[in-house]
Amino acid sequence: MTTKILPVLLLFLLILYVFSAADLAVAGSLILASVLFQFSAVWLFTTAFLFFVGYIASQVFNIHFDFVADLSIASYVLFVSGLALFFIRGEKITQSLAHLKGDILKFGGMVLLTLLIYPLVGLTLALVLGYGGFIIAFPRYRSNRWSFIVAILFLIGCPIFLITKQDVMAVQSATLAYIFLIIGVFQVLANSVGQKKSPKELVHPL
Amino acid sequence: MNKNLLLLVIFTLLSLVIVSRFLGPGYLLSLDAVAVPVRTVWPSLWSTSFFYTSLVAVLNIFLPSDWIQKLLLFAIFFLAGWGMARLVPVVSNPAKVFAGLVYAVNPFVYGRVLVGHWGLLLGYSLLPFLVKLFIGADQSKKIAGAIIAAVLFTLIISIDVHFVLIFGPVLVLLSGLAIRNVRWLGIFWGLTLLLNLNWLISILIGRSELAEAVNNFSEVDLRTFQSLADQNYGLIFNLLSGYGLWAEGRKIFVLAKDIVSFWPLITIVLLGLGCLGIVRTFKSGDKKLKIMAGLLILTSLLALDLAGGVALPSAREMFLSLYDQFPVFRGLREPQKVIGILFFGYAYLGGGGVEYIWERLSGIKRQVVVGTILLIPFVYTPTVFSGFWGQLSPVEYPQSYFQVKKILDRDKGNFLVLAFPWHQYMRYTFNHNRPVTNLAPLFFGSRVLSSQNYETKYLDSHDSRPEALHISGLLRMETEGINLLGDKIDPKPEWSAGLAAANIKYVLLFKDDDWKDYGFLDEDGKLRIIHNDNYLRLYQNDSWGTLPL
Repeated sequence: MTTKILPVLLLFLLILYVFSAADLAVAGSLILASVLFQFSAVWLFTTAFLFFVGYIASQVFNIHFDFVADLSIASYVLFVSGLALFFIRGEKITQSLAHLKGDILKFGGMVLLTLLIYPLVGLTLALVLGYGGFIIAFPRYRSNRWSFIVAILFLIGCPIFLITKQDVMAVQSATLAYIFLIIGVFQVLANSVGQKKSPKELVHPL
Repeated sequence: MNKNLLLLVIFTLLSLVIVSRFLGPGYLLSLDAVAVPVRTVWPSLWSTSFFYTSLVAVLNIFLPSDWIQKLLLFAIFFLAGWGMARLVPVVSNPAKVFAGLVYAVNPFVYGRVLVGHWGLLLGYSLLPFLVKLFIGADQSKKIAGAIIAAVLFTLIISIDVHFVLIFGPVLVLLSGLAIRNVRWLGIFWGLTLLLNLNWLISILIGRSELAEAVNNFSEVDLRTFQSLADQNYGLIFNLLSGYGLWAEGRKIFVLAKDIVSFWPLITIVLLGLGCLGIVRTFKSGDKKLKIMAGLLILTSLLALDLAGGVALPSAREMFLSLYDQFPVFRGLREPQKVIGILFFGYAYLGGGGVEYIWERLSGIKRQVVVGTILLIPFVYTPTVFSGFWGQLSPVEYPQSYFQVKKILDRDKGNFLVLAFPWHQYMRYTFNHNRPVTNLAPLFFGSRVLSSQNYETKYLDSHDSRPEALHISGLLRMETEGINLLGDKIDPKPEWSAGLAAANIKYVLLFKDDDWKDYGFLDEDGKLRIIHNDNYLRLYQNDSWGTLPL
């Protein structure tokens, strides 16, 4: 195991040292890891997609990070490597994804709808509506703790945005943290009201 | 009666009623839609409109231009209505008719007719036929459908190249419906690419007028032609209702909503019927219909986003960045065009909504409710009738136009003819003083030099022709006493010599709009009047040919 991890780490550091590009370092080491650890090509495709989304977001919101060269190049390298692995190994991507297909479609649909609603209603409302759609599509995430988790994520985002001098995004992030806390509190209230009215509890109080 | 025949009859009658006022002799001049008696010129092979313009040129051999224009207007309403009625997945006739009516008669179509974007509307009316071919693709073993679809899409692009951006994404999404028939999709996309190589090559080698024009567009264009908000209901509701066209702010034509005060209610009813159609689709259990409904929801939202564009405060920066990163989007500098996709959604899903009501009601209640619903498109946009509310009527070109054209055609020399007044859009008296694009180059030929200035608040011009800049400079010196560098000029310019320097032998003064401001032409002794009547004055420049060029 160590003999496999070591070259991956070395490659990561080498790329980071030579190119000062964390994105390329992640891409390179992930490709090597997928070869050494026999990961499915799906992971490379997924990472390529995430890098591409990051690239689009950085272009749209005009965000620049130190130690990130060009997310589109990393995305392209990952995608091409994924294709190569896929054909060399003769992987059945459809089989790998079969059990996740429904969830991926629903999640993708929700993300797409949120992105499309965003220009019409603004970021805050779009995210709240998107979250609403998400908990309708995935009832297992209906618990109030997920709202609190999202709120905490936005809260964590505030200092990060402040450090990267994205003040507007920091304010937005703080607002969203507050809104998701409220949503969580409302969910707690709704749950407690629902529990009080539960006939089961009324019939069997003792 | 056969169902298809019945629909054919209904939409033929509807289209005839709409165009009936125009069947007399004369030309329809409506802002950008202009026809002239001269035969259509054969297009360049490298032009995006090569196929369509060639088709019109062939038609023009057999039919006069004014008839082609009227046929085009008829085709827009007929094809839109009939095509949508055939496409919508419902059984009852009222639901089919409703879908066709909503697609053919709405504020979007009305506005576009009056600003003369008839090519855009013809493409819009052909969309249901293209979608029908895609829907049938997954079960089609024949490749004929793919070939027809590719030819149809190429024709639509040729009619108006904006459809690459408007329908392209829709067709990419629709390809998902036919994903199992890779052969069909391969033939469609491959053939489409092949048939459009003529103009794609010219873009790739950097010799495309289209690419040049798009590259000239800037943020100012986006601001000038951005979608407009309703004063009371805002931008999004205005777009949802089929309004928001930039020209609405210029008061060029009567808006249907100025006549129908309760128009927001009708928009809400249309949205409600669309939602009912979605409910019906998802209850039906038909997977293909569900996917289609999902695609329509996505494309409608996308259309709304794009139509809002830079006018959406929350996304203005994002759209500017998009236009900056992907210059091809600048081609959609006037984004309200994509609202047609939204009406496709209203018609398709709304037809399902009417079917839903039809299935759940019976007897007289059903007749009354569905009958009332069928009236909605007519109440929503009554202005498409009575010759577009009296705003469009055939006119004949004055005889003097033909006389002057004869004079100019007799002179075979190498010269330019300057057309004044110096405006791109003018109000001609013979066209009942309605604004229309400058007729001079179309009527009098390519030697005419006329203004291509937008003269809007934010955007004056993209014109880079040296002769046109020269004329603009002379006019500025004449009217403001300063040259293009901002230096004061005294005395005023000598027009005959100035025009001769730009190889202008004739000056054509249309007695329309602000023509009286051009009295300075009479003060120049070397500009000799050789024709003068109520409509036109033609000057010959005696200084032409005397100056070394």
